[in-house]
Amino acid sequence: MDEGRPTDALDGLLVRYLDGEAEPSEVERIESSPSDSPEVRRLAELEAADATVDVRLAALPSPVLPPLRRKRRPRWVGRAAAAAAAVLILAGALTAARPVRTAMVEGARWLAAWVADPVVPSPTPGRAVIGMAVNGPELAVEVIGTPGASVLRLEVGASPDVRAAAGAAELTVMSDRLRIRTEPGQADTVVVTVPLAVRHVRVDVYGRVQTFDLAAESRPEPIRLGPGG
Amino acid sequence: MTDDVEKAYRNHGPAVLQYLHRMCGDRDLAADVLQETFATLIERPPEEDGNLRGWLFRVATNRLRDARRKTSRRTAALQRVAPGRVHGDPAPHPSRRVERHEAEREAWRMLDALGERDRMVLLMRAEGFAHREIAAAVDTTTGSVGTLIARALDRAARHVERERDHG
Repeated sequence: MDEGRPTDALDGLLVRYLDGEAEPSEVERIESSPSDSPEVRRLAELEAADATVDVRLAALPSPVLPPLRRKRRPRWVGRAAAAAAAVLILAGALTAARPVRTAMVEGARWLAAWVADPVVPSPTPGRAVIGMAVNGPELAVEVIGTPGASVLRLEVGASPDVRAAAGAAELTVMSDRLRIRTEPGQADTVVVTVPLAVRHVRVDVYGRVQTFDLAAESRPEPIRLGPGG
Repeated sequence: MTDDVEKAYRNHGPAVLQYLHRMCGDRDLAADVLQETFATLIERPPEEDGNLRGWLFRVATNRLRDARRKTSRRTAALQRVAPGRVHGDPAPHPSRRVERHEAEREAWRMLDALGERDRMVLLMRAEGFAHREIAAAVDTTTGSVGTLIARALDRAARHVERERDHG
């Protein structure tokens, strides 16, 4: 073997040995090698690398297992039901009296949406959705730009990440805060979902600071980001 | 949904989810791909029951690849439509995530420094898979898995050493 470079065959053998997959004869060969042999030196290198990787991987969080979603139906079932619902919408809209028609249209729309995606629906993201982690019990949210007609809604979620979604407002993750930029005439709902670990949210709206104690008010009122807000 | 699938979800779901999360660095994407994997188990279960765990990891890996291809196409489309507007889209690479602890950040950086195949072999090995199972997942021979693992360990250790050298 080249003293400076481990061969593929030797590496394969040594990893099999480390993983308990080596044949008895291979185990004997390795364990009888002198301590200054290339095999044993390389084994020590691989063991050290293995330990380094193990330590690094152990630092990673284990995500929480979500509930198993119910079975998806074959696509044709969804399509057929959606088509039937569309016919129902049309027929209902054409024939029913107005209050009944409205209720039928709403009901049929709901049915159409449900059959089109029978898996538990997830919120449809806007143009930007971000996730960030937050340190400590406080989160800072800064709103800059020009007031429009937008609304900022704070919600508390189970995920350890901060989630934010906006239709049109620009979202930026800062090192210590989440920044939202709004523009004149913008009518948008920005939803920031805060993890349970956060107790206070400091919201700076165009320089006007408000602090929300989430322990005291689990669902703060939406904050208007427009004139008079 | 059969009891068997629920049992498989309880038994293997946490390991598959952890593997997916470590492969992509995105909890939400990992959770979605996990659901897709078990939906596949319900709709098109493996013909042989011998190695369900290996089958789940293989399907999960393929579904993750599909999801990432879709995500990169969607991101490219968004950037064409609104260049410079979408500042906060989920980052595809683990190291770009803002994580709480330095050790965790170091771990993500290490995984990020590895190619997909290196990550796969190291993470499947960490889950206790045998070399023949890893070989089936990465489409190689059982005999070459040891070498793949050794190369991946070398690359990971070199990355960690370089980080230490640069403070």
